[in-house]
Amino acid sequence: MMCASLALAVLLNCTSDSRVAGRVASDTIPDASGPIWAPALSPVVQPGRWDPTRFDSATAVGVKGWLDSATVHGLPYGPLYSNALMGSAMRASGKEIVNRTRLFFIALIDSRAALGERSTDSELATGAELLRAGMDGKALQSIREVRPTVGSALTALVVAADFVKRGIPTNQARDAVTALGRVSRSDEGLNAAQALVARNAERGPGMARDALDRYVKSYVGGAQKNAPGKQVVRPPGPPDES
Amino acid sequence: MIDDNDVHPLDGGDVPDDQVLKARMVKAYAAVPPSDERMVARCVRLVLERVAGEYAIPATAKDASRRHYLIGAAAIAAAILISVPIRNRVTTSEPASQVAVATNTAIAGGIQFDLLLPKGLVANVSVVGDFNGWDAKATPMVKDPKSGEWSAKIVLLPGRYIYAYVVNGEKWIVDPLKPQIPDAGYGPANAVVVEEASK
Repeated sequence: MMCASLALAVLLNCTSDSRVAGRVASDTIPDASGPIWAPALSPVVQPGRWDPTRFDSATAVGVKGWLDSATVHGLPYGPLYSNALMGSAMRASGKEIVNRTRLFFIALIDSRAALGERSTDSELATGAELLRAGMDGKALQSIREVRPTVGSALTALVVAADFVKRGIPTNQARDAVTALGRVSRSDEGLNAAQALVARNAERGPGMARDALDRYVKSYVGGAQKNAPGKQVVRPPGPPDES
Repeated sequence: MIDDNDVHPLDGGDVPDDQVLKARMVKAYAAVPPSDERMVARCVRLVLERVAGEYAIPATAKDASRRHYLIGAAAIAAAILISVPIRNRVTTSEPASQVAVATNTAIAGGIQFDLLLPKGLVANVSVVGDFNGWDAKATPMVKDPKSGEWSAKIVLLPGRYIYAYVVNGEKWIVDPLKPQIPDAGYGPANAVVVEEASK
């Protein structure tokens, strides 16, 4: 009898303890909601100004060296500096920040070589990230070919970078982006593919790959069927179909 | 009309089949807040130790009924042990209210970031990115007291921006469905494209 009641008491204690623990955990964190619901419109921020206090002295010297080199070579300063600041904010070590700044500097040079001198800073930065993720310069060139005007390749590059991040092989990402980009000047198809891949990637990269493959086939196939001047051939229906 | 599921098997109703019983157990455990796994393990260990201790005493005729209770206690302990994995399996699929939902919307001249987080766990949220030098204090988000949604509007020139959310000044989270950048070695981050207003 004693043991049975002990077991029940223990069981009840477990539940009540966890409930108390949960309540304490949520109560101890204050809820600091603002008194007025109105998200202020923050002005355009200019984070490009060099701030050595964001790094320790040795790291600041190393990062500044690469930033100065970028200026000399005509590379975008902002993305390089932002990359270093991101490392600082995420509490990466100084050595790691300087090394990654150097690698990003090199990738920016390659990105400019692939995408062209007239590319925007955002295009070059996204291209550099793609190169760092394993895509080659020829793939960037093929994306540029389907989006040749200045700034027009940005969404295609961002979507390609997202594909690679979610485990799509670089070849498939390149083929998908160029195929979708060729169909239309609009970025709607690219954005829809990104959303589809993001949803399916939650179930694994294999699902994302399959979903992207199917989407590209149907999107490109649909565009070819609807192309002007193409005769629409309806499949024959059963005899009793009106 | 009485629902078949409402008839308890010990109340004289039909004994439900395994599927019904399993579904009912899962439903019951889903309703109870999850216990700390270590605490449950400790409780079970205590019960089992006590049972083992009782069994160590030489059994006499007087202890015959006592033994039944000991077996009952052991059965309860075993039931707890079995229930823990079931309960954990249920709670791993978090309900929608326990998952962060983030969106960003293009507004005139910039972007509005919105983030909905589980209630009661968040003191402050800010959005960080290359537009504010990754400074967690630069762009705090404001909470809508009605919906509990955190928001921030930022004026941005056309281009691509990388960002993430910082919760309680230390936890970095990203929107799982928005475009992300390949990991540069520091951690995940989202990307958003601000287009020309005329586009």
